[in-house]
Amino acid sequence: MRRKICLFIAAIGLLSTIGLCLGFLALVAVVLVLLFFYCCNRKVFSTNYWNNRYLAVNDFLASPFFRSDERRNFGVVNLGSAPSHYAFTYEAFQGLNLSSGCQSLGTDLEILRNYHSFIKKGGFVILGLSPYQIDFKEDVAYWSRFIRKVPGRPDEYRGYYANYSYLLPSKSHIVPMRFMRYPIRYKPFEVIYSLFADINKDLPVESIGRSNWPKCCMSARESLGTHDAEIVFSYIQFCKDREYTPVIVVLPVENSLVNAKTEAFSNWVLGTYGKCCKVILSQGYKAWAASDFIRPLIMTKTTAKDFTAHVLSSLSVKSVND
Amino acid sequence: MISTYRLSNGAVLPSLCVGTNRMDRQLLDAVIPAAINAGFRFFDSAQAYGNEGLVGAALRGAMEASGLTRSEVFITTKVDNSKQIGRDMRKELDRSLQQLQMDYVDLWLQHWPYPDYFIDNFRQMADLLASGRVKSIGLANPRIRHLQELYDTTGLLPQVIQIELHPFRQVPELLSFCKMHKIQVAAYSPLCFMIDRLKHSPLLVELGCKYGKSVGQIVLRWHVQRGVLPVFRSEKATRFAENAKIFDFVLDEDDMNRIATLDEDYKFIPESLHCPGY
Ligand SMILES: NC(=O)c1ccc[n+]([C@@H]2O[C@H](COP(=O)([O-])OP(=O)(O)OC[C@H]3O[C@@H](n4cnc5c(N)ncnc54)[C@H](OP(=O)(O)O)[C@@H]3O)[C@@H](O)[C@H]2O)c1
Repeated sequence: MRRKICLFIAAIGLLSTIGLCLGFLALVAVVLVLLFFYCCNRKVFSTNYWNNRYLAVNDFLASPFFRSDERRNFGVVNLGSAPSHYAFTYEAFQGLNLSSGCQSLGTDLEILRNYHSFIKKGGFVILGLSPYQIDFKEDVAYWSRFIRKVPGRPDEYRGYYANYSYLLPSKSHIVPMRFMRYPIRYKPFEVIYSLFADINKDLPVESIGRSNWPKCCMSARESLGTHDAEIVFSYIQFCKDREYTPVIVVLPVENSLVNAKTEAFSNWVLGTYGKCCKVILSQGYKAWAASDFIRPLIMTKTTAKDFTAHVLSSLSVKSVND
Repeated sequence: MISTYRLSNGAVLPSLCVGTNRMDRQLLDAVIPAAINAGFRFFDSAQAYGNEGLVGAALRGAMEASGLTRSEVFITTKVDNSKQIGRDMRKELDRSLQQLQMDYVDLWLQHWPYPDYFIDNFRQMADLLASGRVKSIGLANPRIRHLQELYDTTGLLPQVIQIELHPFRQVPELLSFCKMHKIQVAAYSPLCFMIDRLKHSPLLVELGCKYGKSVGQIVLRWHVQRGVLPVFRSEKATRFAENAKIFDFVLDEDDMNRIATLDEDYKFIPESLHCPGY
């Protein structure tokens, strides 16, 4: 009996030692994982994955700094989502890219409401619409662009974010704020992936991990939804009330992506808005190859230069070199 | 001696005004007495400048030192957008008067025609004229479309508008509209912040040589000759004597027309950043 008790106590002792060891190992593992996450979180601020997130706003005038930046009276601005952001570049024109990348039509209108005083009287306000819809939501990473303080970014970015913090969906600003500090918590796989296989410098962040974009996230559309269609009407009216010239450009896609739906989309845009503003359908003016795009819908810089020149020449806008 | 303008309601205002934005106590205590000594009697402040109290204190100090009475000085203040949202103009007037430590303001403006608010609030401001605590009311930064909307909805028009106006931005249509409706136009940033392009404008420099005046004086004189009330800003005490000396010469018609050619509709202050949806 006494032996049994001794054995029992020894077993308990052994088990608790093993338990303690396991617990200790688990604790060490947790600490190591946390440390790993912490290091990744710190390292990510110097990756292209992180820094390219702010490429899209490089063209913006930083609002509180308007006193030191005397550029005004832009003849052309463009709005629209990521495909529009990457379709227009104004090296040769007096223009301003007001598209911050992946943004909703509601945000386009808000940006216009805030920035229209930089446009000259009669200036062109281009809204680029793609016949393809990209089905990723305006998630935390998206809204984080509008935050006041960007870790690791120089000060001149501040104004843009400050001005837009009110655009954040109500009360949700806390999440993007945290995202700015702890991206790993919200996008662990993307963050870790970027540390081992970073994207190229200057590649839009929208394209990260989306080499299979066409299959997973893109869908052709025949029209805009009712709500978005209404927003475009408000946008047109807003421009007209302030003596700007609204223009809708249906953006091109590579020829292999053209189908009955994309054709229907062009016709729908022309039919819906053609009577109240100028509509430019740009698919047909050349053959669009896959090599014209970095990713489906996202033009290369060279293509964008060409495309911008084409659109602006059809609006009779002169290049600064003319 | 600085000339005066008579407004549509009979009130009188000096034809030059001194701005006070971005000025702290130390600066105001230097600038306001210097301006008074140079002959200026009209000062521009606003809730948004965050220094109404300091302006009031510096002004009272300077009045006491120079023996001026309240009726000999003039003050403008403006209702901020963030306060327009409250839709209670009486409260805002109380707040400004309390800050300024004064019984009345000579000119009370809305800082911006804030969409969805400015019409209702302007109606309230007009009602407060009867109290005597406000002598005249107006609107800063309107375009014709705002004035037209205000008139169509309420039948009211401001006595004064304050807009960005300088040789690079001359808004002739808005000025004609104001002339037609007897609205006094005041020019803020009348020297376009004296940006280099203006300071070194060959035409303005040439006119300065011709009349023996500085570019600043030529531009201020041009405003006054157009019947406009410039609201300029300076941090330098010596400037005030210079800017007051614009009543001893006249730009001839040809030179006025030449300055008109500088217009490029250049707006230094982007309105929509201050007033989204403007
Ligand atoms: N209602 C509104 O929305 C609004 C907006 C902006 C401003 N404002 C009002 O307008 C006032 C003036 O506008 P502002 O400051 O924007 O522009 P401003 O008066 O056109 O320009 C101010 C600049 O001009 C210089 N200056 C003044 N007189 C000069 C002279 N004779 N020769 C050379 N330089 C001279 C000043 O330099 P020194 O300091 O060296 O003299 C200062 O740097 C403000 O103080 C404010 O009260 C109203």
